[in-house]
Amino acid sequence: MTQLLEHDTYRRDAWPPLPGVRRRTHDTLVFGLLMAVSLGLVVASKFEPPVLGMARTAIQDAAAPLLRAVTVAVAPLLNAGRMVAEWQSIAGERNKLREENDRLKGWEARARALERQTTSLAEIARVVEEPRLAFVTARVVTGTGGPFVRAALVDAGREHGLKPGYPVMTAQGLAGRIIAAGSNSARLLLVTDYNSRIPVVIGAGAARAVMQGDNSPLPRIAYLPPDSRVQPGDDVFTSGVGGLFPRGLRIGTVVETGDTLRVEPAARLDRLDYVSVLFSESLSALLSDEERAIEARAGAGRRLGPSWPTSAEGGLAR
Amino acid sequence: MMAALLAPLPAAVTILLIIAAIIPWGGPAWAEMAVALLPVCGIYFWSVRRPQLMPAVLVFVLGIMLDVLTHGPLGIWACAGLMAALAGRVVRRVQPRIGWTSSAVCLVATLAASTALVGALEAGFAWRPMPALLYAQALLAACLAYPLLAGLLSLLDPLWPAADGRSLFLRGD
Repeated sequence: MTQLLEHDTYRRDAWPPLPGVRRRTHDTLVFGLLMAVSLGLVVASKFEPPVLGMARTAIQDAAAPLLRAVTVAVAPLLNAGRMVAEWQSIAGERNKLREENDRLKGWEARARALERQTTSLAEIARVVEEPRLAFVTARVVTGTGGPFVRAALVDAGREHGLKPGYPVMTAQGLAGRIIAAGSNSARLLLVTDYNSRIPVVIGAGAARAVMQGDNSPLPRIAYLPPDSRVQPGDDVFTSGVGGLFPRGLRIGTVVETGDTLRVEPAARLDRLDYVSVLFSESLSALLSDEERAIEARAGAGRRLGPSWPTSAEGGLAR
Repeated sequence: MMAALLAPLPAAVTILLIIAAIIPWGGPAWAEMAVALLPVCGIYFWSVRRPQLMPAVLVFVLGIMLDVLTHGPLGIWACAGLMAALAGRVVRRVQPRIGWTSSAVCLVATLAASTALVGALEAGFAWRPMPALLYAQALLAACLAYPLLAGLLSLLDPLWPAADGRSLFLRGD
C-alpha cells in the first residue's frame, strides 16, 4: 500500500480544528471570536484603561530601534522623492524668493532696531529674564499612517529626559507636544490633531484665542474675541496661557478658508524628519497628584473629541 | 527545511507592508490612508493564495501591530484585516466558479468594506463626520495598487516548488 504524505510545513495546518468540529465551522468560530475581541478592544480604547496605554508604549519602545533602522535605510529614497518635488517647484519660486529676500532685508533692519529698543526697555523696567530652555533633538521614525490621529513616534524617550507635555519644535515652528514617553521612544501629538488645543496670541494686536486641531492640515482658530482685528497673514504664537506651552513659540500664520480663520503651521508636519523637544515643564507637571486628579476630572467634562490618542500617560489632554 | 523557511514568508511580507505603511513618506492624508491599506491588501492576497499560512490569529496580531504603530485606537485595523482574510478565503473557495473579473469585483468590495469599517469606527468614536472623499481617494489608490502588489508577490511563487500539487513524497509500506 502506498501512502500519500504532505510533508511540507507550508501546507500543514498550523491551527487544526477541534476534534469533532468541521473545518468551516471552526474557521467561522475563530474569525467571529477574534472580530469580537477586536471590537471589544476598540471600545476599551475609548475608555483608555492605563494597561492599554502601557502596552502600547511598551510595543512602541520595542519597535523603535527597528523603525529607526528602516527610516535611516529609506532616508535616501525619501530625500530623493522630496528633491524631485522641490526641483519641480524651484523654477517658479526663484523669483518669488528674490522679492521676498529684498523685503526681508528691510524687516531685518527694523527687527534689530526693535530688539535694541526692547532690550533697553527691559533694562529700565527690570524685567525678569525668561530662562533659556534646554532641548534634545530626535528623529521622527513613524508618520501618522492613517486618518485617525495626527501623531508620530520619535526615537528618544525617558532615558533622554523626555516627559509628557514637552513642546516639540522644528526649525520652522511648533510641531506638537509629547503625550507618552517610553524608555527610548515617545509619542508626539501634532498641532493638527483633533485633541490639540493650544492657547495662542495672534498678530500685532496680540489677540488671544485657542487653536483647535481637527485632523485637517489647517487647525481652526476658536474663541477669538469679536472686536479683535485678525487678518490672513498674521503670525500666530503660543500665548503661554494655561502653562501648557512656553510663551512665544512660533506656530504659523493665519489663513482664511471660506468664512473660517485657520492657521497654516510653519512646520512641515507632513515631512517631519528631525525635531527638537524643549525641556519645558508644563503647569500640569508641577501640580501635586491630588491637584492633577482634580484637573483630570474637570478636563474629562470639557473634552470634545475622542480621548484615546492622549491616554497613555493620563492627564494632559485638554 | 526549505518549507520551514518559507512558512513565515507571508507574515514577514505583511510586516514589511506594515513598516511601509508607517514610514513618514510625506504624502497627503489620502495617500497615507491608502498606504495603510496595503497590509490589508497583503492579508487578502495571502488569504486567497495560501490561507494556511495566514491564520486568523496571525491576521489579528498583524492588525493590532498596525493599530499600535499608527497610534490609532486598538482593534480597528485588526477588524479590517480579519474582514479581508475572511473575504480572501471565500474568494479562494468560489474563484474557480466565478472567474477573474468577479474576483476583482470581490477585491474591490473587500477593500471598500474594510475602508468603510475603518471610517465608520472612526466616525463613531471621534464624533465627527467621516471625510468621505479622503476614503474614496484612498480606496481608489489601494485598488489600483493591488495588481502591482499581487504581481510582485506572485514573483515568490517559484519558491514553493509544488505549490498546490498533491504528489509530494510517496512512501511504500
